[in-house]
Amino acid sequence: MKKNTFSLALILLLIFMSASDVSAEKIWFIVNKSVHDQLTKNVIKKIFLGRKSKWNNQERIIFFTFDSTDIIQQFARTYLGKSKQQFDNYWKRQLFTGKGSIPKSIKTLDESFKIISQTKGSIMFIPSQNHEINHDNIRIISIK
Amino acid sequence: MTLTKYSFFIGILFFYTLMAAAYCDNIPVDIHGFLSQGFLQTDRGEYMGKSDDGTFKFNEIGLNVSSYLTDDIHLGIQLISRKMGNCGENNLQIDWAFADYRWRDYLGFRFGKIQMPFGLYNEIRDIDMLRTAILLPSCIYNEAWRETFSAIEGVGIYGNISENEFGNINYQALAGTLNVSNDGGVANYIEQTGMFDVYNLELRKSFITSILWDLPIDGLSIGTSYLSTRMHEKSFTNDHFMYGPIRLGMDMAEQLPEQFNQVIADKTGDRNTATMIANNFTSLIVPENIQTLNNQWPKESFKDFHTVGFWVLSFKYQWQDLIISAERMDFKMNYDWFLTENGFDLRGRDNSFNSHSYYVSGTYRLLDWLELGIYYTVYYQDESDKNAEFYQALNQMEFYQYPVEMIYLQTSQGIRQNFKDFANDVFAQSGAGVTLSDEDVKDIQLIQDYELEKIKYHDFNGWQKELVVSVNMQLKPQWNLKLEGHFIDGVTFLDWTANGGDIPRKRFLFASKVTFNF
Repeated sequence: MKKNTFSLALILLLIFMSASDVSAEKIWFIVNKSVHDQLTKNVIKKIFLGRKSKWNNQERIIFFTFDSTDIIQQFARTYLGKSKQQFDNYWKRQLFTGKGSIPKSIKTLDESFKIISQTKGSIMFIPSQNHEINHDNIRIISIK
Repeated sequence: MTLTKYSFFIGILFFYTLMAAAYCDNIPVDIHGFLSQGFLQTDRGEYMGKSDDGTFKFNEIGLNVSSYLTDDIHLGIQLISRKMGNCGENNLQIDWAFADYRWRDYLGFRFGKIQMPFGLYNEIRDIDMLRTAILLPSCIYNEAWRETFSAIEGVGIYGNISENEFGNINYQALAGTLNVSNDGGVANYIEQTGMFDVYNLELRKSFITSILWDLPIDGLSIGTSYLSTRMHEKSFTNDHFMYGPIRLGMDMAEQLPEQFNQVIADKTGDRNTATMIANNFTSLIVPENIQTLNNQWPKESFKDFHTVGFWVLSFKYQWQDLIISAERMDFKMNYDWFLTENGFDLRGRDNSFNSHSYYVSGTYRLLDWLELGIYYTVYYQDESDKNAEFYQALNQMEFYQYPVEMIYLQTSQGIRQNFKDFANDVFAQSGAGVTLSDEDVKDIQLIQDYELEKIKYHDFNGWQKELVVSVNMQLKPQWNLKLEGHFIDGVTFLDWTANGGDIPRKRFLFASKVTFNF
């Protein structure tokens, strides 16, 4: 009986650990070159929870998400203290209570670079790359 | 045109303006929505309508359109159609529609019909996929009151104050009017003692403030919200047994003076003395404020609720996929209740009313697609009377315990004896030399021409406690399937008077719901 209880507890623990597993992939942030603000983990949290809507130069912050479950999960866990589902539900709550719009999700890196370079005041997270990225009108930021 | 219809047309106008502006000026418009269908079944008794055979009268359809007109101005509208048992009827309504001007992150302004920030979850009570449970804890988020507590039509300010060392404070303050109908959930709640039928209910200016503070400790939030309003209600008395003494008094004032008069006149031949004695004795046995009532029934009554206040304290802690939340609500009402005809005071007990409720809940996302939840909720209708002794005392009233006919017969008998003694005292003092005998008064009688409705009250009319277990399966990002079991003890929020009080204390409610959102 005791053995069965132990096995059950172990299985539950494994399920728990797998459910909360976070990929080790790193996150980069890309911003339009019009953005000169210092970015910290706390600023990122405020932006992606809609609590900070303007940069210091009063330009509107436009943020996007990268359309990958793993990347969003890692970003949300690391910077917001939420799971992907909690992050999704947070923005659905904002949407369906009239307090904001769900951030647009961009599917590819190329499209991400294009949109960020063309949109003033924009920011988004992308998976870190193992090569340097040189793109006009974009700054790449890694936050420790 | 009612306020609700008026606001509906304003909302539609708002919707078209938003679409036209977006179309003409090439402004992006977001369109989203949701659709859900549920099922309810109780093992016995009813839940928000007929449910013991199972019912599919449980759905929500919402359409949401919003746009940023400028960097600072956001417009949005949400239309909703819903049904839950006897509530809703799938009429298309404006769920919310407002303009939002965000001057700074710490100060913004909103105008229109705005979701009420009441407790942690009131703003999302229409949006099923954002929570684990199908039905929110009824002690604070009573489904029957949803039409009134969803949104406020008016103006408000809001903001976020975010400092690293203090965490984040989100505040809102709104003023306006609440939507209330004469046959909706609030009216039903007021009627649940079974003593009257509401035909007009008005809520005066309402105010709500809400603060949610995300503390600097990761995942920990505390909050408070306070809703204050005033209410005026008009109703008709019914055949409830509580009115037995009033109706008996009215019949005495109506039927007896002429009989007294006749008895004395027959005995003395003096009409003036007869009238004097008849009137004096009637005044003695019928309270003055009942004597002045006409003999019509039912009567209009009104209540002025000077204070209607709801104060909620909230707590939430999130650690990874585990969320623990708890809330407590104090609900206070203070009112006067009078018959319109002559100001007769109908308050049966203290004119204040303090209810108390709380819940504790936990949810855990076990797998990406699977979330489990549990909560326990308690509501006491009267904080100072948790055993509902008030209700039990009603069962001891004479007009509940005995047939009306018997009470009238016994009263007639007592009156004959007392009238004879009273009249003989007057005769003795005046030296009239006349004495009434039992034979003289034997025909004096009260005629009863009505029956009273007898509701049996229980101690569990004064509370409702629920243990709820939920499973939320998010099969796809747009799809949720939920299953839920409610173990219910007590009937405060249920329509128990419809069953004449003959209702079981405990029941089980099964609920399921599938929701699609886009």
